[in-house]
Amino acid sequence: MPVLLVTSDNEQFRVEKVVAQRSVLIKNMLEDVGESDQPIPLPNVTAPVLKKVLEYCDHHQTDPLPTGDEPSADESRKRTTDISEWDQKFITVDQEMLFEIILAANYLDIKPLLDVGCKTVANMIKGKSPEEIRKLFNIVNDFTPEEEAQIKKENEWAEDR
Amino acid sequence: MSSETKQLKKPFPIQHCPDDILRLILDKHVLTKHRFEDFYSFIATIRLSHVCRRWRAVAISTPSLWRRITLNIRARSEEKNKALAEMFVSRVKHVPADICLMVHGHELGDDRRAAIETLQAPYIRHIVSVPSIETLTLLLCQITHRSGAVVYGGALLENMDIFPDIEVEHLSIDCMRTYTEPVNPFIARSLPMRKLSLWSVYFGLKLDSTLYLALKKLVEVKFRQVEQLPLLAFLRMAPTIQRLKLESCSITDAPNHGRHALELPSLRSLYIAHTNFPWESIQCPYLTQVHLSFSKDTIDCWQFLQRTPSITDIYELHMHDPRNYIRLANSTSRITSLDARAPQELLSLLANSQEFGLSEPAFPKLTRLIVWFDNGDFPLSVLETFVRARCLPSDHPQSTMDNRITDPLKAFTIAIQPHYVKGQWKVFLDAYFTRTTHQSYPNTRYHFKVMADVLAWRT
Repeated sequence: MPVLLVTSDNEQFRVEKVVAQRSVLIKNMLEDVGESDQPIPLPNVTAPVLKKVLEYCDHHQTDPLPTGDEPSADESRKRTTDISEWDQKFITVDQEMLFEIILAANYLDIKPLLDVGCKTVANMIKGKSPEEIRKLFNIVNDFTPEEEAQIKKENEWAEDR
Repeated sequence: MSSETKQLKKPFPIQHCPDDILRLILDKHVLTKHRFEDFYSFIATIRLSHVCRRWRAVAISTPSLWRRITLNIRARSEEKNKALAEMFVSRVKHVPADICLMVHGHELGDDRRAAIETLQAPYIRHIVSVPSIETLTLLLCQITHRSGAVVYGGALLENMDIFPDIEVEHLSIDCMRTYTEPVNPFIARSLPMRKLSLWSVYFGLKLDSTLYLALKKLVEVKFRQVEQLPLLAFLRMAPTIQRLKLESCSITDAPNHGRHALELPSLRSLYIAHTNFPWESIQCPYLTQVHLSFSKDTIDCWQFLQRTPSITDIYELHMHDPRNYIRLANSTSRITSLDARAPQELLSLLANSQEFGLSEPAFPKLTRLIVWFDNGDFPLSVLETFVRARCLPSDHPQSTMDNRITDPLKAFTIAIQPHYVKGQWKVFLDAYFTRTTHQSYPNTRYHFKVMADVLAWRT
């Protein structure tokens, strides 16, 4: 049975339940209200972003759902910033859309999509100095002189390993 | 507008991300494969904390970002190491930490007193004083000519006091084959650990009796290039081992002729590669998984497999004498997973066991099979016959599966060198298998897929 989703800009999306349920938020909502043809409002997601998110959910509809258990320490260690080929292509969007996708994945509770988004941003930081990171994201260096002095000291410890 | 231009015009609004998301991004960054990933994740976290006040606050309030540290133990780094140890202890808090201590021989120098002082620097004790340690790693590099009694007044490790007052989950020691003193007295000083990894070390023939206390809770052992290893004596001290992996180890136990075999009731998984393993001397009544990479199919090994009916999964069995498959099929019917060479004989046996003198189907519970084609000189008809007998569902028109076999294989994979894939083999494999390649392996893998018209290709 299809599910009707309504975005913040009032656009409607009719999607298969199996696709919509990749979102833990929607899955829980559906379980709470039972069988119903009532539309599900998503006030934090706009239509262009939801369209993109649903593209992801559709592609991954047969993946096993996350169990919610925290990964073991061993698994955590194995996690890297590798992204599959399809996901890589999917997430090649402008940075504003990337940001919106991350926020939507967080709101809709789609952990694998949130992971892909965060990994993508992490890869942008890779190999960069704090100054380069500031430049990349337009971040202001707001440390006080005292903090700067501490950071300078820490930098010395971090150098020449 | 190119995406690069867009990127410049509108940078990712990372400062608008909630703290939880920024934390997640920083976490992914710390786990990024840096050049020396495990060594420098702590340094990567320090750098993240230097971006701005918000990033620093988020980083410092996230102990998991600080959980991995590597310290290079050397005199000229003492002040830095002391500061890093202090920072580590204050920031990692209760999170289980990975601590790696590296000792380079050429950094220690030849002055005995100075070297010992370096190895006993108080920050080493401080760093292991954290509430929880997941992995404690000791790396000894290039210390061959300094490891003896001449320079340090005893073995190098005797001068080190790295063991914390808490139990460590995983102890790992890598001596890069340059340290020729036995490590077992050193390990004996540790509180019980659950995992022990040794790489390129001399274990030592004479076992310290207190070693038992360190090993009594051991569940996982990974030894690689471990010399002078009295394995049976070691196993007697570690009765709870569940997973044992030995690669290129040199075992010193004397043959166990006529004596009772050592029983290892906890052992579930055994991985043996390039190691003279004493098959005849152990009994593993509940062993389920055996990995025999590059091990010879000696008679002892075969007898072990035959007398261990609990085994369900066998990986990388290098079987050169096909009669061994028949012996194995005769002795155990529980095997569900097999990963093996000598494919022609094995496939024929699986397709028609009666031809080999068996009254029952061979390995009737088999659900997963990988065969390695080391040469391409056997007829394609053998493979076709096998596919009919074991890979197709019983209701498939081409199936010839014996009705005493419950299910066809769920996974059948052929690993083959690419130059053998030609002519009719190529047509057949391309038509009915999915091909995958892996950069680490020279062989191409073909995974069988069941289709309605399978094997109809000749007609």
